Amino acid sequence: MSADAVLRLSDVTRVHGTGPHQVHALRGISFTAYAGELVAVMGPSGSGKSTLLTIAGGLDQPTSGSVAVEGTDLTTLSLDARARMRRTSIGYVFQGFNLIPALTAAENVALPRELDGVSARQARAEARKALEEVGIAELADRFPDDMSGGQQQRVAIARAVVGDRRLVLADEPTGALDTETGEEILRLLRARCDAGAAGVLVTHEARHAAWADRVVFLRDGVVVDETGADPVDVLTDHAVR
Amino acid sequence: MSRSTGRTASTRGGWRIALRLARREAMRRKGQTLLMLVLICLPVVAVGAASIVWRTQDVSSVEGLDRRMGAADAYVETSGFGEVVQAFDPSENYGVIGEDDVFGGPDTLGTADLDAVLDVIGADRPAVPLRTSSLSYRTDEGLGNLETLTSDLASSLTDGLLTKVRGTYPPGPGEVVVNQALADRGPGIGDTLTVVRQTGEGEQQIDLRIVGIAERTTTRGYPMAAGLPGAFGADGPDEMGQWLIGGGPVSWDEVQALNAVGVLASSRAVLTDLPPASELSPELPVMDSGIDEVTLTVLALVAAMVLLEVVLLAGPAFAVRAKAQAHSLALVAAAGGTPRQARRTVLASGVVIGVVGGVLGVALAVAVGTVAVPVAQRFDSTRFGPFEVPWPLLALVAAFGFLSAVLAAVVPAFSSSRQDVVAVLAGRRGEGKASVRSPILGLVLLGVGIAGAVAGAGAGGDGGGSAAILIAGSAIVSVLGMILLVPMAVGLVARMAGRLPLALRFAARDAARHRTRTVPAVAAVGATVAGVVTLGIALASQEAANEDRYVPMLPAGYGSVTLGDSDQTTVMAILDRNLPEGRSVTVRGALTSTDDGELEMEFRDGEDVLSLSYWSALSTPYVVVSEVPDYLEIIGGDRAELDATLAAGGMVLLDDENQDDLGAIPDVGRLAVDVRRWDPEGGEPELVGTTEVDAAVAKVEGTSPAVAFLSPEVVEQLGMEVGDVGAIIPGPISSEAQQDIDEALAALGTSPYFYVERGYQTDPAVRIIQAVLALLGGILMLGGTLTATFLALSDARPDLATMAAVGARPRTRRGVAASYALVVGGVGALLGAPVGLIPGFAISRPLTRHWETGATSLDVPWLLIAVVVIGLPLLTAGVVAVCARGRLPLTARID
Repeated sequence: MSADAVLRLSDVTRVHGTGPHQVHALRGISFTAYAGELVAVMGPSGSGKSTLLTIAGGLDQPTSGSVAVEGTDLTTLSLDARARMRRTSIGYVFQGFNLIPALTAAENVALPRELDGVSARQARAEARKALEEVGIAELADRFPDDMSGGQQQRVAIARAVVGDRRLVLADEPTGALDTETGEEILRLLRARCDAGAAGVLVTHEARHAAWADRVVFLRDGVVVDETGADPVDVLTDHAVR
Repeated sequence: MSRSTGRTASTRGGWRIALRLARREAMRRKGQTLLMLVLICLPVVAVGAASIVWRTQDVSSVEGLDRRMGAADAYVETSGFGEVVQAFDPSENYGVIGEDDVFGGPDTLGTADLDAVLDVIGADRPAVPLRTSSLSYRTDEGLGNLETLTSDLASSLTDGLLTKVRGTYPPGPGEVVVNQALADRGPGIGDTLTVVRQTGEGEQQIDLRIVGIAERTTTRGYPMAAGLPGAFGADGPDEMGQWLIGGGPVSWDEVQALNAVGVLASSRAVLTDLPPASELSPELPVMDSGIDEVTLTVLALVAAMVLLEVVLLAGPAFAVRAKAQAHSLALVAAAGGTPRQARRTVLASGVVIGVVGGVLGVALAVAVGTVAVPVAQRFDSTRFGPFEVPWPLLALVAAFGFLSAVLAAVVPAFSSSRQDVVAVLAGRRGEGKASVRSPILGLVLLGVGIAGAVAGAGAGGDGGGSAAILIAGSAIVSVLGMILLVPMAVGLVARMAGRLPLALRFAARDAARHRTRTVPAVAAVGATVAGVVTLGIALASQEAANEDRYVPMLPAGYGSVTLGDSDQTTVMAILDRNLPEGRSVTVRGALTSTDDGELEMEFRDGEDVLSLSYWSALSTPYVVVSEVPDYLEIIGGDRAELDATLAAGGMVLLDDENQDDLGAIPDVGRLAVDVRRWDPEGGEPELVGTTEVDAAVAKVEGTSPAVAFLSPEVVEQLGMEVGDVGAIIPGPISSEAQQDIDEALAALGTSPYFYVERGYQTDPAVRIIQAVLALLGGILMLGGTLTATFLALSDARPDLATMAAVGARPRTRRGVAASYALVVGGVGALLGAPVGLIPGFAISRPLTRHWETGATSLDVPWLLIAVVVIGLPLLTAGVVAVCARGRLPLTARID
């Protein structure tokens, strides 16, 4: 395993609301994901799994603590700069696929590249390559409404990895899929991590954890347990390298 | 029987539930509801407020009684005829009957015949004369116009004609009261008012002392002076008599008795309590009732167009509301709900918004009307009647608002009842495939519309009215056809969007996927553009026709003065004072006015009398010169040759474009000239001189400024006198100089006529109408596009969140918003413009057809069309880009 930390959360707290309505979604979480590693985050509803993911992707800002992706602290970046990070370094996969129905499969995959200002032709070429990697190159010109759930999720994974992004954040990516298709999707995620990306997989199904290198358990916004190769590192964040 | 009762009850119950749901939904989505209410209310408020101003401004016969007759029981006036019949209000209609129907015949009553009038209705009735006329008065600058009123103002019969503001009232002999408008222009209380009156003997000046300020109750803002009878000079004995009559009600029978002696009467008793219409004389001339069938049809067409526009503008909001309810409706359908119930639920939204919008609109209309009436009064010199709210009309307008809301909900209601329940429950957000039938029907309607327009354009002869209605009606049919083609057009744009930049591609595809929302918005823009293009072409073509038919009287920039009875030295001095000295050239002509009657020349080729056309811009048809003057622009004929003819004692006849209709002037070398004198007492004209001279023909452009240029010898041989009749001034003449000269000449009293040829001047009203047209089109387009765009943005929230998640910049939302606006505005404009061109071309024909030649003019205002088709969509997109929030919804879907 490479010792290269792609995602590093340090003492991250997230508080929603103020006064008596205050909700502590995350309470001082520290957490690192390395290149080539797939980390599963598990926990019951409301444990803070999704908040962790939105903060890791720069969609939300922590109340305190720092979030570094490939060495860049997201909390110091502007909205624009964080958006750029999502185009170039971070890929999202959602439970509901979240493809844009008005765009074809290839266009959905090309979206982050196009948004990044890459020429449409090149973006499309890259998208086709990414679709090939997830095994659905022949569906490039179809619209999402004309695809099955599994096909849509493959497109979503292709979109998350296109342009060599090294952090893939997946929020219950198999939740809307049957078992067999779900396994197929996880195999793709695993392959992507084996190819050098860091993956964070939020799931509540124990059997999915089998695909992960490590499992982190969350409850009420704190890490309560972990399994895997390097438990001490996860909890204390002492450098392995 | 019981089954049908049960069904009615269930229908009623179904509506109750649907209405309750619609009410709750309206409360739940307040922003959207507000938007819908605004779209439905605005036209109701605008039309409602306008109708209040209109009804208030309109003074009915009863409302105007005190203004017209003060406190008198009747106002009577002699008609100048022996016997008349009148409507209950003679100012609306009257007719002359009897054998002696010549105006001012020997037995007719006049200003001296009050006794004869009173003989009919009671000799002991009190009466005072009341006369109004228009005269001039001296101002610091020269002369101004004023309205005068004379009556025995001390008499209680005149109470209510004037209201005293300050000073002394009533005025005594040699005194007047004036209104504030006159006082503002010069003389005030204590000053002298000099009234100028033109009489047969010349100008009469009357000095009067101003003792007070009083306002007339009918008008405001126009200078007015009031005094005792005769204060502004004595009336001639032949003038019409006008009196206020008191002494008790004047009955309809008495009015008819007055009519029998040629007197018209407005009786307070008759007008406040109208006799049945059967009392009116059958001999009363039939009048246009004001609203004829053409007017009604035009009103109906306008109402239909407005209704269509409102429905289209409000349509997207209802579509989005129906979409928001789609999931609930699908659940209802899954639980066994019928399509009819789904339809009713969506229609109920229209009913709720329609009722609230109508009532709210009327309430706001009354409020706006209350504010608008005093504002409108400022711009109107006639005093308005009492504040009047035309409730039946407002109810009609409210019903219009209700109808538009329900109609706007119809299409979303039907698509909701046909939605794919499985797709909706599975969370798919698009709509099914577009209907294949509707574009075909659209093409058919478009074809019918074009055919109608062509037929209307060809239909000539019977006046423009019916042709215009046919064209306007087919324009509406064309627009309906266009609406049915919109889904196809939007789909086509989506299919071609593959190569477009991301934001535009997304907007185009998304627009096509949400047809019920997009189509009405695009159609609203299309209908607006079609209307603007049609009216623009109509306006421009009419303007072009006016310009084509404009005939200059002089070379461009030249001015001319006709002396008439004015003193030549004085006039020339005025010209020299205001223009560089020595510019004006005196025009000499054969004098045609003699003490024994008017002289007229006739030109003959043997026995054939020539018909010659002219417009005497040179003060005389027969100009006397020894060579062709420089100011005459000759386009055919050799100037040297013409000069030679004049030098040899001949004449030059002018041939202009009107001559084609009158027959060509024969080029025979010699023509006979006769002079005839017209007997002022009637009878045949008498030949007073004749000669035969060399004649040459000069071709001039436009209309010739005279009939002929004669050498002095010709006039001498005819025995006519030659004199200075006017002057011509080579240009340029500034408009300031023109105004100064006009004022100075007006002060002479003899009114010499000064004319400056400035070519065709576009009526400023046309420019204003064009600007209003572009502005109105812009507002409607902006409204339609903005509504659709922001509704689309709220619909596209999940997609925007996805874009944010994959790294879209905040400004991406602006780009998407602007692209929506561009798609809606652009597609609408591109569809609407050609649809508007056809009726535009068509209407230009009946509108500009020359009554005689049948020639028509066509002018397409390309600039206006470019602004509307290209400029406005771009502008709207720009406005949207600026107004749209840049911030993307970030975490909307990752929880």
